Amino acid sequence: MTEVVIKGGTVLDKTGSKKADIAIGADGNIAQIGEDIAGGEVIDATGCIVTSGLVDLNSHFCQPGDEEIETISSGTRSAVLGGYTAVMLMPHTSPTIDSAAAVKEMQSLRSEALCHIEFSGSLTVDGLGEALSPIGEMASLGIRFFVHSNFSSLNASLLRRAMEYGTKFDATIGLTPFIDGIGHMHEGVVSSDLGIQGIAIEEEEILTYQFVRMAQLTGARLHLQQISSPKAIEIISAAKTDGVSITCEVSPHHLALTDEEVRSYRTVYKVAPPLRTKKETEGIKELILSGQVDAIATSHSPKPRHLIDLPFEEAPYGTIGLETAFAVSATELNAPLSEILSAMSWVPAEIAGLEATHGGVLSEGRPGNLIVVDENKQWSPSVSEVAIKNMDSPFDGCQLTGKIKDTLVNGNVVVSNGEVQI
Amino acid sequence: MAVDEDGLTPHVRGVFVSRSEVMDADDVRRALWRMAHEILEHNQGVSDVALIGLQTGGVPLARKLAANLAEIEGSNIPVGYLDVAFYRDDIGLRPVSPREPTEIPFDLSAKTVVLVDDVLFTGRTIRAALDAVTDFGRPASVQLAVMVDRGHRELPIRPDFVGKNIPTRRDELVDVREDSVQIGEYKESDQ
Amino acid sequence: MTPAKHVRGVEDLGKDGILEILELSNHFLEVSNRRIPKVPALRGKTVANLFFDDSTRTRLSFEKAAKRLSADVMNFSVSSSSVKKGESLRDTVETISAMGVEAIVVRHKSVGVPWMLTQWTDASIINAGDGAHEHPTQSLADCYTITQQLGSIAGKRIIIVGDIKHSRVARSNVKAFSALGASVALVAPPTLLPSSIENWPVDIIPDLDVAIKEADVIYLLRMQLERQEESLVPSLREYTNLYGLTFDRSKQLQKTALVMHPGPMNRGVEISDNVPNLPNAVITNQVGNGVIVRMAVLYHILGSGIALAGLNSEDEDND
Repeated sequence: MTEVVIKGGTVLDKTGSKKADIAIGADGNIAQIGEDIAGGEVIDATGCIVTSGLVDLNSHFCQPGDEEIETISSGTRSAVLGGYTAVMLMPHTSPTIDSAAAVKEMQSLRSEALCHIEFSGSLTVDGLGEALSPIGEMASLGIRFFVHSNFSSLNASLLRRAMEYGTKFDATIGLTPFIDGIGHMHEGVVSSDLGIQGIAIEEEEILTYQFVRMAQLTGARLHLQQISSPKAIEIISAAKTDGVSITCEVSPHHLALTDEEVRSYRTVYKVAPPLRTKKETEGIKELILSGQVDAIATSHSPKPRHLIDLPFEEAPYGTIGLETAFAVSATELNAPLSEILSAMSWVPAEIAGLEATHGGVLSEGRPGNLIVVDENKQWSPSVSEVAIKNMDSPFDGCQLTGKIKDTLVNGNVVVSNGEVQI
Repeated sequence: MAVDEDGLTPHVRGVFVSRSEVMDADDVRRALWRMAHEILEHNQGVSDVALIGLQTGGVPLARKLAANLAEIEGSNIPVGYLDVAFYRDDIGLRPVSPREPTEIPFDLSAKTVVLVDDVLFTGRTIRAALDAVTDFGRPASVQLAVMVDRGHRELPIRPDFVGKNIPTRRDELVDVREDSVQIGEYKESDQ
Repeated sequence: MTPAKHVRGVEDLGKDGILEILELSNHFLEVSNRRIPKVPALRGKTVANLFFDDSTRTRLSFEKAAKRLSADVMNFSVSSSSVKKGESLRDTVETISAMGVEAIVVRHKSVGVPWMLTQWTDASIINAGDGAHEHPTQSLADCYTITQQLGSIAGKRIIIVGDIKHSRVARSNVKAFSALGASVALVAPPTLLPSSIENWPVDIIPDLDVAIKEADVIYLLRMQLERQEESLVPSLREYTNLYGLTFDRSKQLQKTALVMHPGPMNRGVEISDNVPNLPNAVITNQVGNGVIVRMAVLYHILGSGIALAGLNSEDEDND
């Protein structure tokens, strides 16, 4: 029986686009794709694109440990508002997800989520880069993604062992080429003017090269997170040509914002890796459009008001992004929607191992993980509109084009006309 | 001169437009001679007298009075200049900046200090000047000489030596120059 | 010009504002030489000194300036306030603000704090040093000292020597000196220069012995001893040999060239023991002028009426 019909839109997937309605059955799966389907609850998609839900590869919700900042419930609320039907959570919680017990606890929280949540494990115990986590134990619970993000610790020999060991479990190793050292922002004109310690972009490029070569040595499958340097992406592309199994992601804020923002001293602009210059944002956009970037991932990482209000040099890294990611990427790239969806849904679903249920091809029988996109809608995020927990967005007040109208997770309408339904 | 003589950064955008001349150059000259004689008579000589001209309108008058006194008595008397901006009671209500230097190059303790200003109006400038003088020493007495007393006092202050009493409306302006005294008003300029 | 509401950085004043402060300073210099060096100008106004980072010298200078203007002074320092108990910067400022203050003088080890504070208070903010960023009142004291000694700053060659990278004094002075028409040169080891200063209005001269000959003013920066531990210089001895104003090197200075230092000095490191006693060393003048220009800054901000919601032009006093 038809429960929901998405009517009047243009259905877009990997195979192309066509005018069609989509009917969702009682089991939450796509029952029919065709013209003039009647019956059930109607979602008006006139003038909109109907496509598969977005998949984020890099979200930080603060449960367990810091539930007053963000929970699975509030984080997935942001996610579905932003059109995500699946998010991969990073393991940097308290405690760190570095054991079977922690994975089991996380998996028990799935019932609180408004969309699918996938988990990653920490490559090292407590994320400290000192000892290898029980990768096999976590892999037995279905974890395939293991990450490390702070290279002020973790020496080369431990990284090599982790990569070698991970190959046995078909693991993808996620690494952020970033050293949390004495710097707080991109090293350049702005850091020189302000007297804030800089982080040279070359550090990221050197680490990227190191990771790439080590992946080549060990045969590990690598996913490089939050790349902010076009040169680093070129290094990755060259490795792909060499047959290295490697993918990479960039964040929407690295497309839209530069280190000039730091002149406002607002800590929503303190991110790791740091915001770079116009040269880099333009370079990354070109590389996305030439297909050299596999995914756009948010690194959604909320911090509470009292940490936002710290001086720039004292504030922790992180900014929110799930609700604005699609609009920011669409506005900045100004490219056919299929190219944006490729980087935000189709390829990330494959990297996360979710291609059976998310992204890719829309066909009858697949789960109803869908979004309705109003491509031309102009809007401007504001604190009240965006924040679930009163958090500033780095895009407050920006003029954006493209908005998620409706989100369906497993056939359930969780967002209707931009409002969460649950 | 009176246009900015109170040491204020002018914030009324306008120009002084004269309506009538109440003293001409001879009147001013004669008034200054008479005032010099009155100061002499009142203080029985000038041995302990010092003049302090209030910036900016009182300064040329103080110089002229000192010259007259010197001519009459044959001895130079000390002249100082005082900008009362920092003692005004309207600081913080509007921009009040000192215009010209304060220079009192003599000890005024035990002296008879004659404050000299061009126009006496509300009395607030003189109140500020009395406070300022106290910070420089303890004069035997303080007297006040003004070219024009135009009335509208807001404080219990009266002049000891006056060039001319001129009844005015409150919104009028009095402009004292070395060669004339005019009454007029602000006209808004195009700016 | 419209008086500034805040003095967070040199740019809050601009060239006209700096010149106005220097002109006002002449009046306050005269006040400071009086029998009673105090005027009632800011009676009833309260200035809060909010020092998150210890600097007794700067705090005392501001305190003296405020007191000479008859303002009330409240001192908050990090050791006695509740910031250490976890109270946030915002809470602290909102609390002080609620007590009723017209100006907050703030010193903080982090860049940008004076700008952040303006979100949380209506009081005027005066920056007494934020990280390695700005120290505008030190810069004003330096400008005033040079103007006093050399007549003007325009056209003068000023060389700033030392740890530019970590120096708020250098950043403020580069802006102020060049705004007033000086030609500024920086002399520093490459490790102590910021990475990208191609937009700064300065020349870089690698060799102090070359730069020193053309200097009208040599401005020495304090060499923090920890720079050696961070390996930014191999040793203080080597630093002194290459970049210190040794007594021998001081002989290369032009006869009229001024020797300046923001203090506190590391004698024997950036400046030789006997150089501060040279006739053209005006380091103690800088300290004295610090009080004078801070009086001018406080008066410029609090005496102008700009801090009040609306100026009352009805209250004209033609007296």
